[in-house]
Amino acid sequence: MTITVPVLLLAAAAWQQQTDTTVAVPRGARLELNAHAGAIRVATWERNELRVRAVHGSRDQVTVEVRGSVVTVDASRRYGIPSFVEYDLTVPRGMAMELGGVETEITVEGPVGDITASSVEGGIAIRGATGSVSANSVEGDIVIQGGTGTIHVSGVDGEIRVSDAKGEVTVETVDSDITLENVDGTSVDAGTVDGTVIYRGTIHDGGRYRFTSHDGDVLLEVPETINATISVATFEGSFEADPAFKVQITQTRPGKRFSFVLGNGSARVELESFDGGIRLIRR
Amino acid sequence: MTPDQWTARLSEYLDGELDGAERQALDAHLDGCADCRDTLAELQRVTLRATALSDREPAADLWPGIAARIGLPAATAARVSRLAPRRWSFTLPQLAAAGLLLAAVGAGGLWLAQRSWSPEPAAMAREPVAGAEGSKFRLTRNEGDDAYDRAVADLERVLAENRSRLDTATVRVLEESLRTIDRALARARTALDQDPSNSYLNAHLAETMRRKLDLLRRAAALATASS
Repeated sequence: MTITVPVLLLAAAAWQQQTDTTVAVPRGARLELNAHAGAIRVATWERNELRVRAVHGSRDQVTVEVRGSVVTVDASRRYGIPSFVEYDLTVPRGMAMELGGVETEITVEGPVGDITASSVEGGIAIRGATGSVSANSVEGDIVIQGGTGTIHVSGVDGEIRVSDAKGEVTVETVDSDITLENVDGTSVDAGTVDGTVIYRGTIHDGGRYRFTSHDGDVLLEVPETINATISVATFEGSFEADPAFKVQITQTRPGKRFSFVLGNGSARVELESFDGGIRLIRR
Repeated sequence: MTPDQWTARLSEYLDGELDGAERQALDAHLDGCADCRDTLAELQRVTLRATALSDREPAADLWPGIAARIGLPAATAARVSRLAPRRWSFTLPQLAAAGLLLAAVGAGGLWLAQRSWSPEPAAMAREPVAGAEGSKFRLTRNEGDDAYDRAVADLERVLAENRSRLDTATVRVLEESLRTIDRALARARTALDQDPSNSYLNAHLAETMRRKLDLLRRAAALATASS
């Protein structure tokens, strides 16, 4: 055993090859990269250059093509597709990008521009984006920190966490929890079927907010000074509000749907859970 | 505001376009007005059914080019394209017109539907049963429900035909998530049987049906794109 493992590692190393290349890219260029399996890690620097480091099979070839304002990074082999490639990219600050993969972990750190990232079996972490963000994964956690403009996150079975985002935020998943932390948006919509939805953030005057779950709790943690008309709907669930909000519920209908006003009521907040608990918590 | 005036505002209510005070006032009105609650529920059903109807082809459709790039067979691409999600927004007159249209093509008609929502497999309109009590209704399918069922069946078939192209772990996750949605649908339908005019339950059922369609479409696209 003690001999076998080093031998296997040496054999694997012999089959691996590393590419390290740097190319100049036009200002405002967009990066496109679609991988099959492996990882995509992106960092930023202050140069108008793209550095691509990749670890791949000895029969694979990694290429970088600059065509107009689009920079394409690709891996290929003569027959079939490269089975596993690990990319480490360093991109110009603010570069927009479209990253995709099948069994691919995607990590982006730093002030990139508009970004679209998708994976089937792999997590996605984007931290420090300064533009719009679109991220979707079937089987992997999604973590978004930052982002301005349109933030759209779609999952199926992985946890979703969005923090420090500004703009219009839309999050949707099926079998997992959603946590929105320090989100500063005038329009926020987050829904899951079987999971908890937590929102800790700002409620802007005139904003629209909707948090829904079928089989999970919905927690809204906001200052008691917000101006909002809050609609609550549940079938078999419950509602509870921190006494600080001085909620006086005077109207109820079958199916437990009611609304109440905090402050001048200018924002609209909808909280729905078919059979989970809905809680309004003072922040 | 009179009840008639409130009826004209139901579409705005549905679209979330009322301000806080108006919404609260309409909520209060709905508490005491069964007609408005029924109308609101029907508007929600019309919206749901409209989302399942087929589209007219747009003048410039980008999908064929995308499908060609990812290597989809033409027939599959056409099926997936037809099922793309859409965002719908209607005025009350449009909803009323759509309701009348659906009433014309669907046996029984939406505006004749009085009290309950279908148990299985999808929403159905009701017709009075001859000889039965006035409150009893026979389940009758309509065009919108058929369109939704066809869309779901079509996507399920595409997924079944191509599931071997997906990793088994991905298939397991997708199937488990579809089961989660189906359980939610079943519970929402059971709840609607108990409380047919509940606007929240109607909207919840519609949203859950839309989620199922979205997930199936996404799964089918993944399966057909994988090779």
